[in-house]
Amino acid sequence: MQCPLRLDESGELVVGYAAGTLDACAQIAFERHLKSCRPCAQAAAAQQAVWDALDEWDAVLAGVKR
Amino acid sequence: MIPDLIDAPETAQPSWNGRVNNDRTTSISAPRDHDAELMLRVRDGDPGSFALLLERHRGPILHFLYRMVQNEAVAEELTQEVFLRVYKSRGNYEATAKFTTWAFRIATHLALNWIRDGRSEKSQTSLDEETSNGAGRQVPDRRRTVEQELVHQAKLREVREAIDGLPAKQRAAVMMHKYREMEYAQIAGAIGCSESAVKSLLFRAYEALRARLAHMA
Repeated sequence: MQCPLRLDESGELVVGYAAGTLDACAQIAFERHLKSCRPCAQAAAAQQAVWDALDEWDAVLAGVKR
Repeated sequence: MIPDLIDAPETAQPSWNGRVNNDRTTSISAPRDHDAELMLRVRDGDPGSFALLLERHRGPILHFLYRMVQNEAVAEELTQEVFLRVYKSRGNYEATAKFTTWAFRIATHLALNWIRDGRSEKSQTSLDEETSNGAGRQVPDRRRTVEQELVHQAKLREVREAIDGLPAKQRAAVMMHKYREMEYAQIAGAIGCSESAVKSLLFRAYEALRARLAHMA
């Protein structure tokens, strides 16, 4: 798998990976790639942190709305 | 004015180069747009159908607007305005777009105007002012120690500041993508831009959020 950071598609893969919206083949291929590509691994970890933070923030907002 | 908001073309949602599942919006990706049918009945004078639409969509619209403006009273007011505009435009309604796309387009328009006019800064009941923590009016979690609670509050403040730091259209795109799980075509219809523009908005937004929040990993 070519590094997606070089193909200008890292956004889709990185965001899709954190969102859990990649199809099974893409997820497996990307996970394999992450093991050997530090920039992608860092981007994926950062995106996961963003995803989790947005979840946590939304939970607070949801609490306000209850 | 409102009929202008109905012109969002409905196009098939392309996959992310075949890599992304397209079943994220199960409730609005049905073969038939039940909401559009209800709206057509409203157009034909059936108030009961409007009540059904209100019941189905008030919550999602309210939550979207609340995330956008982060003020409960304003979100309620704007939600009311969304459905008022929907009702007023019933006579001109044509099912050329999904109802949800149309409704979110009105909501986005109202939220962006509200943010653009700087009314968020003038708001006297902002969450920040009420709590000074920037995270919202929340009851402290008793399972956390005081120190843990302070760290939690600081984290939430940081998240909110990161979101507030996004340009309004990027924020709207993220709110719809992350919390409503809307597809690119739907977000494009709601914001009133192309799908490629939506991708650009989202990628720049997430890139900015990653830069600010990556240390939370």
